[in-house]
This record gives sequence, structure tokens and C-alpha cells, in this order.
Amino acid sequence: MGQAFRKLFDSIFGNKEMRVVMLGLDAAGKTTILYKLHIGEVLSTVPTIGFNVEKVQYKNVMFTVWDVGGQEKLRPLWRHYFNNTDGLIYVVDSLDRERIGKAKAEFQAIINDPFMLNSVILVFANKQDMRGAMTPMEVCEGLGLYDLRNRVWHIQGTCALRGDGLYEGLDWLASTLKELQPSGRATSVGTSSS
Amino acid sequence: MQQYLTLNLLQSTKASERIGIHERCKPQNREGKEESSLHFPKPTPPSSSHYHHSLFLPSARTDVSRIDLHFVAAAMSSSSSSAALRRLRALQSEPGNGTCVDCRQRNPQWASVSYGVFICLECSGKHRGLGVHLSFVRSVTMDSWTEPQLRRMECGGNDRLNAFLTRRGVHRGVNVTAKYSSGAAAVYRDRIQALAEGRPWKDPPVVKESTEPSARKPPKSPSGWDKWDDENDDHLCRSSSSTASNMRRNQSVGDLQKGTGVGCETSLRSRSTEDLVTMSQHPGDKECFFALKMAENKARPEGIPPSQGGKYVGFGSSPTQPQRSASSQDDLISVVSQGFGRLSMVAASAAQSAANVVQASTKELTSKVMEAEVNGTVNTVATRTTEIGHRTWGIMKGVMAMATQKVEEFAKEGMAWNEDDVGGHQEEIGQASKGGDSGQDHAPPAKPSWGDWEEEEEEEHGKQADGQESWAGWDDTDDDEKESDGRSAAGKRSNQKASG
Repeated sequence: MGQAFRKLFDSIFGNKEMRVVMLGLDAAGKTTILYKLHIGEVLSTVPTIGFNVEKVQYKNVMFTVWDVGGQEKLRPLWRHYFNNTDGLIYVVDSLDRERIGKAKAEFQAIINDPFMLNSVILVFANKQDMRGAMTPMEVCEGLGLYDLRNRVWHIQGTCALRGDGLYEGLDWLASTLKELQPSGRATSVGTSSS
Repeated sequence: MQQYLTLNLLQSTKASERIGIHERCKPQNREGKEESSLHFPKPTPPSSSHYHHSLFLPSARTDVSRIDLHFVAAAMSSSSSSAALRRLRALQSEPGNGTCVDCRQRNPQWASVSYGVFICLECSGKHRGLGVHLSFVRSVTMDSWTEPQLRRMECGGNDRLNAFLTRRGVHRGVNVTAKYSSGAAAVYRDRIQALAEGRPWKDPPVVKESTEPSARKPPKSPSGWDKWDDENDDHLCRSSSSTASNMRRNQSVGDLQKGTGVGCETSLRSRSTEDLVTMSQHPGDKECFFALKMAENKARPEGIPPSQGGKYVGFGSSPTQPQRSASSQDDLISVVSQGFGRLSMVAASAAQSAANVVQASTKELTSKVMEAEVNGTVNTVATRTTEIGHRTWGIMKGVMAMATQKVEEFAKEGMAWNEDDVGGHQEEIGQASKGGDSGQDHAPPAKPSWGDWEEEEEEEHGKQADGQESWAGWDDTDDDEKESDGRSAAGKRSNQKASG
């Protein structure tokens, strides 16, 4: 009986899946964010050589989050993760004012990739708890988000260690996905381009 | 080389996808993750020019006179990155640089540019956690190096840093956070920068610091969700920058304090795995934690940086109004669905218990029948009781079918509301009519049950009238017939249940 109703509700409020790739310069906090979201705990991470992938359930959306290492020599490999990606999470170290230009260059390269033209963009301005960190507004200007045309983006201040701001970002991702998919806007889901 | 790397990447991608698939049933795939992460082949630098000229130190960019022979050589070389690597390899072979500056692990492949020292992979993780203002970490092989960074490395050296810090009372056994947020470390950073830029440098007078491991308050090792309490928040907000960074790092580095010498790797691994297992057993905790976090964040004032207790703000390209309404809609729907789930549970259990009672009483009565040998009458009573039980079930079914219909309509409406363009309105109409259709689909199972009830009521009246006429005249065959009637009615209802 209960199962029958559960099936009914699953069909009504069906779970959605979303493939997300999380990128950013080295030491931005990508892996910390991934594991904070996955298990709610801060792990002592080491530089990611290669990638991590975990599933993160938020409400009724199952995010498959790919966290790819951000070392300079690994960045040319990022594009191999672009295909069939619904969303980009770009993580910025808000404390690293010196490299915001570098972060912008990499960011623009990602979002202008042909495979990424349809993906929504979530920017995490991380390490907001630190004194002297750039505000989300500054990061927004630093990355050139205001100049984007016809792109769906959102920037969120976060502190991965304490978990602040992360769910606000996921909330935006989930609701944006729901808006875009039924209205027929081509997200990467279902568009098979090799 | 690049192709080789890519190939390996794809292979490990497949492996990881397998992990991802198995993850649902077995969430603790930390080991799998480690494999995919750590066994990834470290790329050696490609021979082609892949050198990023990110000269972000303005002093080096402006002052041409400081460019030394090394830089000229590097600039003239056709492959500057391999030249940088040659210089780094030469530095690595210097005495003292062959072991990690913090934990003495051999052959470190990472470097902290801020101090000009070489560190191992594990310690590079801790250094990165300090923040770029305390330690800027680069990989010897996986990062491209700028000239100022290389010059800093040449001015540094593992033994020099440790000797300098020891002279100032920062001993080797102290944890990474304390070591690099100390005043002596700040002085050494300035020293390295000055030397790298060719400025004259004179060490300030030695000030002994009390950074003995025993003298420092050991950081609390957080074990639960309540570790970030308000007191902690206040402390973090009011504390100075260095204390804040200490606080910040307690979380990740605290447990490693005991293991900075040897065996830090094992303690780290076991703890993370332990955490992972514990956490994966309580997925609800995470939801509660983040729900609390979101509520906390909503209460914070805007316009103040989060480091001073302000809100973690977010904004974006699309207007926020429709999103807000959509999410509130979802919340409403989920609340309704939850409420209805509970209702259905209650209804099901009530129906079940009613049926049980009826069956029990039937059995009881049957046994009495055997004793009293007044089969006909009592059997009729038993049949009636069973019928009543079935009827109760039917009522429950009817109620639930109607409720299902309502909820479905509501959900469809909710979906339709999310559409805000013209097509959406059309869809809304379509969905509304669909909702009506589905309502009609569901209505028949609901109404006949009520109708059955009434019909059976009448039937029963009729039978009672019959019974009054010839109550004792009922024989076994009549009873059998009635029982089969009841069964067919029950069968009909079970069909309704399946359709509902």
C-alpha cells in the first residue's frame, strides 16, 4: 500500500539527475566543497591529481559532481569533462586577489567552449569567512560575469569549511534545472553530441 | 605525452563511473576515490612551450634591472617550462630539500613559494588550507612557474627556514597552522620576498615565540554537527586575522597535530574513512545541518562581509522572483505530499486493523458454532461481519482514492504555475484538463465504493426483511452463495485498489 503511493509520488515529484562539473584554480576549495556536500564533513584534502566524483542528493535532484584537479598542467584536461554537462560550478578563492585575472581567463575559456554553451553557471566565491576576502560582487566583476550575454549564471558567497552558502547555491542549481528542462531549453541532457 | 595522459584520464573516468554507479548501495567509496585520485599518473611537463606568463608580481614586471641571468637564459630558451623544471630539480638536489620541510618525507614534489621550501603531498594539502596569504603552494611538475616564483625558491631552502624558525622559538614539532601563522614565519616570508626582488634585507632582532606544542591550546577535534555553535561564531568574528585562520584550520588540521612527525598519513586516512562511514549512516544529519545553515544565513544582516558576521550573499543573471515562487511551491507540494503519505499510512493501518478484528471475531464465532451446532444463524452473522469488514476497507479505499485525486490535481496545478510564458499557459490549460481526466479516472473507483455501500445497505435491509420472514430457514448453500458474493465484492475492490 505504502509502496504503491510512494511510486505514485515518485512519478509526480520524480527525482531528476544533473551532471555538474566543478572547476576552478588550484586550492580554490573544490574538493572540500565536494565532500562537505557529500558527507557534510570537512576532510583534510590533498591536491587533487586527477579528479573526484560523488553523488549529492539535494531535495529531489541527484547531482553527480565531478571535481577535477586545478593544477595548471591539469587544466587542459578539463575539457574532457565538458560533454553532457548540465551545470558548471566554478570555485574561486576569494582571498587570492593576485590570481583573479588568471581565474577569469580560465573561466572564460570554459564557458566559451562549444560543449559548455548550454550549461548553467554557478560561481562559488569561496573562503568568504576570511578577512580581506573579495566580496561576491568583486569576484563577479573579476570574472566578467556582468558581460555575459544569454547565459544563466549565479554567484554565491560560501565558506566550504563551515558549509555556509553551499546549499543556497545548490538550491539555485536545482530550481534553474527545473525551469530550464520543462520549458524545452536545450540543456546537455538528452543532446547527444559526441 | 598529452595523448597518453588523456587516455589514462578516460580509463580512470570509466572506473570512476563504475564507482558512481555502485555508490548508491555502497556510499563509502573513499578508497575508490583515493585510487582514482592518487593513482592518476603524474604528468611530466610537455616538451612544447606551455609556459604561462602570469607575472602577477608587479615589482618583477616593472623593474627590468632585477632580471638576472637565469631569467634571460629562461626567456631565451625555446622551452621555458623545461628550463624552470631544470632549475627546480637543481634546487631539489640541494641538501635539506630532499625531505619535506614539515614531516621529513622524502623526495617532496610540491613547494611553498612563500617560503621557498619543498613539501610533500600531504603537507601541501595542509599548506593550501592555510590560505594564500600564509602559504602559496605550487607543484613542481604540474604548475607552470613564473620567474619571481623561481627566484623565491632559489632564495629559500628547507634547512634555512627550519633554522630560522627554531632560532625564534618555533620548533619543528609544532603543527603546520601554528608554524606558519607565527610571527617568525611572517618575517621569513618578507625576507624571502625582499631577497627575491633583490632588495636589501636585514633580519629584525630575534623575538622568541612561545609556540611549543604544550603551550598552545590544543584545538578541539570536532566530532558532531554541533561543533559550530554560536560561541564559536562570535569568536571567529571578533578574533584577529591570524586567530581567525587558526580557527579556520582547526577543523582540518587539528587531528593531524599529533601526526606531524611520522605516521600522519595513516591517522589521516583512518579518520577520514571513519567519518565517511559514520556520516553515510546518518544522511538526515547532513540535511538538518544544511537546513540550519540556510536558516542561520537568512538571519544574518546583508551588506557586511561574512568575516564580520554578515550574510553569505548570492545573486545572478536571472530574476529571483520566479525562482522564489517556484521553490516555495515545491516546498508546499512536498509538505502536502508528506502529510498525505502519513494519512495513507494511517488509513492503511486502520483498515488492516479493522480487517484483523473482523477476521479474529469470525474465527472466534466459527469455533463457537462448532460447539453450539447452530451453524446457519451464526454463519450468517459471521458472513455479515466479514462483509462489514470488507465495507470498512472499501470506505478507506474510497477516501484514499479521492485524496490521491486531490493531491494529483494539486501537483499538476503546481507544475503548471511554474510555467510563466505563453506556452506555459497553454500547457497549464492542457494539464488542468489532464488533471480533470485523471480525476475522472480516479473518480469511478471512489464513487462505486460509496455506491456499493448504499446498495449493500439496501440489500442488507432486504435480506434482514427476508430473515425476519424465514430466519431459521437458511441453509448452508445459501450461506455459501453469500460468501462467494462477499468474495467477488472483495475481488472487485482489490481491482479498484490496483487501479487506484
